[in-house]
Amino acid sequence: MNSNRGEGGCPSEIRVFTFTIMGVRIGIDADQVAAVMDVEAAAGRGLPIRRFEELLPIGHGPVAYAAPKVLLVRGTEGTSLLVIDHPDDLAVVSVKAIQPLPPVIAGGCPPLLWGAVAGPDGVLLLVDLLRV
Amino acid sequence: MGNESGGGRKSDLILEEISKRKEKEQVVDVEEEKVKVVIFSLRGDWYAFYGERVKEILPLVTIYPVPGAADYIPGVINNRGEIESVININRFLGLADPAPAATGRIALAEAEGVRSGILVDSIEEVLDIPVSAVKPPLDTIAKGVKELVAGQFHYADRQVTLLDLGRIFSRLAA
Repeated sequence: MNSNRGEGGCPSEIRVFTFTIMGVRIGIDADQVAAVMDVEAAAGRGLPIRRFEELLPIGHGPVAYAAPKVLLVRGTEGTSLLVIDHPDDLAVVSVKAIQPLPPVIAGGCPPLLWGAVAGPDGVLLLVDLLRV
Repeated sequence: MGNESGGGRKSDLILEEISKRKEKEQVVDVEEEKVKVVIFSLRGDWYAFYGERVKEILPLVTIYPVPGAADYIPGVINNRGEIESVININRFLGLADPAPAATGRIALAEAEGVRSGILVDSIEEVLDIPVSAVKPPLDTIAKGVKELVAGQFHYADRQVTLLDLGRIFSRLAA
């Protein structure tokens, strides 16, 4: 669990597992990820497996994965497997750097997309898998 | 014909009359209420926003797509550390998509407590116009668009459609 906590129990920073799908940079709270594995290793686990775009639509056409990996996700209904692309980094993000999505966007987006971080590498979109 | 009348020289009378006329015109100018507008183009037609609504004019920077956002929202931009949404107003108004061009800009605007960037083909002019120059929108404007129009005015021999950002943002945020 994120150890650095500020007032009211809100953490001062979070660790996010970052990856890129079709040019979109996504960050998932590392506390929701139990493991990262190859597709072959995940196939033998007997757990429900979903592709990331089933949770969050990416573009309008088929989503191509260049370097797929599978996340073992801790959810409210147990563990599941989530196929992602291009795992990038495990980054520490200050809560002060997190911005809510602009109101024009927030209303129409899936609820699991909850915030964004602006950085030198572009914009990182934060996903909370427990808000699915 | 004499050059002088009972009140003085004719030329002096004329100059005095001209001076009075100019003063009167100045008074009229001061009294004429003006409003700032930002004129921009979309697919060759000219549109405008009230200037007080436009906070910044930004170059076309990288737009980061946001999955699940509406079709008329190409994504967000990083404006000096602030994440701002960007609207493709062409799609919102039912026009063809803007043609990619070096003249393209993002007008960062705010209304009804909502702030967003708006893609435009080019910024044509920023100027003050008399409030009285803004006329009600013509009936020829499509009904869906007309509801988003604050009025129309003429500038540089062109018809300019003044868009109501408050109504546009209210509809977007609804």
